[in-house]
Amino acid sequence: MTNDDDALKDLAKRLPPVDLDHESAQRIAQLARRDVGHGPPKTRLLPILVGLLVTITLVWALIHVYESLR
Amino acid sequence: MEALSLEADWVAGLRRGEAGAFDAVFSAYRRRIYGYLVRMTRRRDAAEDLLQETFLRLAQHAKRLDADTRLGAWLFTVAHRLVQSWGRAQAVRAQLAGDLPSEEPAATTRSPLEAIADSEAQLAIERAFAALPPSYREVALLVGIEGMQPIEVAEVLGMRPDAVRQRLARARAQLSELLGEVR
Repeated sequence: MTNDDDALKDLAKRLPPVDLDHESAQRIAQLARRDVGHGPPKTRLLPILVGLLVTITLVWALIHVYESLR
Repeated sequence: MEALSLEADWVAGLRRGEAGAFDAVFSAYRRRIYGYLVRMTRRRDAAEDLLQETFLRLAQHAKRLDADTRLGAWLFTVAHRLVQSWGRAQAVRAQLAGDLPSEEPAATTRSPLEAIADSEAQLAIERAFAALPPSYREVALLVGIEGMQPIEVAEVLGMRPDAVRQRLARARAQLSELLGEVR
């Protein structure tokens, strides 16, 4: 830690404290604590599954089109 | 030493899926992460959304945390990545709207962040930090407010420590120009 860093810290200490309101903090805490230890919600996997299904279908259709044209 | 032991207890609790450990971490880090987010995004609504996402990710990764995880570094790393994604989305949105991305609030009005400054000196410092380019501001906030060493900042930002020191020196130079009191 240099004197320059100390000067920066002294300056930063003079910034006004910032916090969010109590209700918002409570809301966020309650929302997040439900997920503790449960991993990402299953609904997050849905777009991935849909994308995979669409890709497989497209590849399958392209192969069939290609074979019918041969 | 005590703080380290407390943090180790919280990590152990999170790994066991204990909501109480999460509450303790949220209570300890909420203000710090929110302060960083609000000063990086310059918007309270965006900062609140990103704060929520940061702690949702902590909750969802709780059982997969390493036993020696340093929670501060972990949370600031997540928050930094979210700010980057948010910044990219803002830039795309601004381009689609045909505008240049704007970092600064209108000079004639006080931003919500500036409104909490209760003296002209605080306002000047807040504006000086806001005037820094985001990459310099981020380093200045992590060292200045969070008291991180450049090597810790490098870990959070995924950069080399010498690159962090370079940004820090430039941030200090710009702050010095703006305020005339920091070298």
